Amino acid sequence: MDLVKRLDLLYFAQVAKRRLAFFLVPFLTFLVVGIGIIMVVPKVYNSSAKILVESQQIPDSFVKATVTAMAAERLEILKQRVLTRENLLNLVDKFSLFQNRKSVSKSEIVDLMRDRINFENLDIGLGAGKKGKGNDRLTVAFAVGFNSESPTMAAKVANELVTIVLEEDARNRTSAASETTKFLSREASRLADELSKMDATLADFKSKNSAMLPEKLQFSMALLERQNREIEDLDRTIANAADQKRLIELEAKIKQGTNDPGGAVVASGSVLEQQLAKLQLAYTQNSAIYSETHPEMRALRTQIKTIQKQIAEASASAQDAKPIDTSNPNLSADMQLAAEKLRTIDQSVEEAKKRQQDLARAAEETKKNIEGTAAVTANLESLLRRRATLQASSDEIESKLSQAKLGEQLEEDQQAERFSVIEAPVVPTEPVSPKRLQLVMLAFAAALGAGGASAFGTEFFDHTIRRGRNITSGSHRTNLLVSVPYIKLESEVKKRNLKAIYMLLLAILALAVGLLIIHLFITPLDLFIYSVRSALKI
Amino acid sequence: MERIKEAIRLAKEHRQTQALTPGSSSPMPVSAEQKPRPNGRGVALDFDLLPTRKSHLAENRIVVASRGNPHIAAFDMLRTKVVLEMNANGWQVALMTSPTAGCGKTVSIINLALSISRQPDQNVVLIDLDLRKPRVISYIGVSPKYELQDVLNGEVALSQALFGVDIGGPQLAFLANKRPLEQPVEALVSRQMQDILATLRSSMPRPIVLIDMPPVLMSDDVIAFLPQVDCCLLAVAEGQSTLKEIQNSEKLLSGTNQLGCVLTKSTEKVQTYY
Repeated sequence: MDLVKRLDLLYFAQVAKRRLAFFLVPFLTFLVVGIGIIMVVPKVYNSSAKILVESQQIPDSFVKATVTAMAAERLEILKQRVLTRENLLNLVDKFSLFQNRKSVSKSEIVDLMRDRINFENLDIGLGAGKKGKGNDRLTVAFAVGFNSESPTMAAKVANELVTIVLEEDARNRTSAASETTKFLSREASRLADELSKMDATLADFKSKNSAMLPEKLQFSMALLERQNREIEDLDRTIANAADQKRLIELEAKIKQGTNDPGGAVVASGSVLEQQLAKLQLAYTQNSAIYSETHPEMRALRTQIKTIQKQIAEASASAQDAKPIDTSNPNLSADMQLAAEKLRTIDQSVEEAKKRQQDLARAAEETKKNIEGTAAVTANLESLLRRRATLQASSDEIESKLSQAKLGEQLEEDQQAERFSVIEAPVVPTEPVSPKRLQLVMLAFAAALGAGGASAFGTEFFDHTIRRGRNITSGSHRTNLLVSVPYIKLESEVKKRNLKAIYMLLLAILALAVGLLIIHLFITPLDLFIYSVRSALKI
Repeated sequence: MERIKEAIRLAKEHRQTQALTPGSSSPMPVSAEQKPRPNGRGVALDFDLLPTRKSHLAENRIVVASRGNPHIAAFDMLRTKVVLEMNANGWQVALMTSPTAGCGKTVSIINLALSISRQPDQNVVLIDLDLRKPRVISYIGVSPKYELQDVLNGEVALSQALFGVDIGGPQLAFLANKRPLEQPVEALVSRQMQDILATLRSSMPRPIVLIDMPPVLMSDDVIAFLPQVDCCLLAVAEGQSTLKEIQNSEKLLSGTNQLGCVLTKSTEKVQTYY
């Protein structure tokens, strides 16, 4: 078994030896071509600046910044603003980039620029492991850079980009702050307008309903009372006047003829009438207190009936009595005086009655006012409430406006969150791409793969006999008499050695030519060696 | 060196004997001219031994000619197996072919013939019947006076066309053409060819007749000639012949006894005893 295994190993060694050429040719071809391409690919340099996002310097509790969007979000917005077509084309013009690509359209140039500009957020984790991944990351800094074949150009453009970013951010923030202020002042003036309108409405309402205002209620009540009292007074005055008149008539009658009983009758009649009126009044007043059958009420009723009967008797007797004829010129001076007095009394009664009527109207008016006061009060209160609401919101807006003005001031003074460049773009010394070492390793791997594939492929598709076992075992068996080794000729060996020497010489020559080409066309060899060494160190 | 001197001496001796009997041109001259050898090995076919150059033989991979060559062992092994098998079955005529050209059958058969001739009392006749591309003569680097074609044309006797080489000694005779032939199949199946084989079969002591033939898959020569032989050998080359070719060849050769295959150009490491 051991021998068989050893033979197998030997066999595989043989296979490897046999397929060496099939391995080497593609391997070397891939390697050389790959490395050649890697060497020819232009170097790209990257220059970038680090910009720190500094938080507000004045404590938040003193002055609130107007712009409160997350730094990451603002960065994204900023990026979009910086990478506008116009900005990019300006950059291209300013630094005359892509001069060697005249045929390329503007859109393509814009795309190229976008590819070459890199924005990178430098995040730090906050409260790691506490919550989800995305939300609690805080952007504290970001990098802005530019890729170019020329290191100085990369630095220049990166510098310009930093300037644009800073300007854009400052403009952004101040404009956002002044937007806020503008909005708030607009709102404040609108509210003030509304408030003055409301005041006008209120004044109008008050003047319209001045009599019914709640503060006039007390006054109206007093007025009504006074008026009622006055009316009562006038009643009394009128009654007095009537008494006086009867008295005067009685006097006149007495003076005319003492036998004239009419006057006393009239006089007693008027007294009776007065009594009747009093009783009636009492009755009416008491009826509110007592029932009909109450003894008081019954007594009153009886009194009233008696007096009414007396009045009826008195008036029946008075029918006979002649009224004083004032027009009679034949009357005596006394009579005339009496008549005159009577006329005066009549006049004053007339006046009193008129006055009474006016007062009644006024009282009616006052009563109405008192009744209307409740509705007016309700309306007035609602108006006042509305005004108070308006006043409150107006005050709030005013205070906000003053805050916003402060915030705007903050932005203008750059006291709020701001960007500061902590690493200015420098001229890079090392290209960022191509990553030659990795690429060479990749090419090497590819070459290895190609070589292996070629060798295995040829071995796989080669159905020729490779060893005695191929024909003594397997599907078709045949009698193998003997295996004759390949008979190597000395001349062959010599020829092969000669060929090997030629190949070696050729390889050396090719290497020399290759190095010369690299030296002349790609990079001077000393630099190349240096770069290889530095690449290997990494 | 001594061997060469010996061979040259022998060759000179033979030329002298040939000169002594110039007019012998009977149809079967070989059997008539058989005579006992002085060293007591028995009667051999009578032919001249032509001188060869060792370097030429080495250049053409006739390794059995050079002493101490490591490849001799393989041919000796082949020789032993073939001779044993043929003698056991009473077979006398074996042909050597290959599936395709360049499998090393001519080199193999010359080496085999040389190896067989080294056995005591074993005569060998090697006939080059690859008539389209005869190469035996150029391989051994001699220039015989007559060739096979002359025998087929009836111009000379078989014994005149037979020749030996100094390193092969008197037990190994060659019969070959120098130039290619246009119509080989006709020659192969001709009466004269049959006569030659009959003569060789009947000569004493019984020689083993080895015949070098063209590739079996490339022409109809082998198939046409197959009935006249007792057995066949197939040379296959490593890295050249495929299993399919071997299968096809063996199918074509199924009309005769098959001794087996010889794998040539082997790169497989062989465990050697020596």
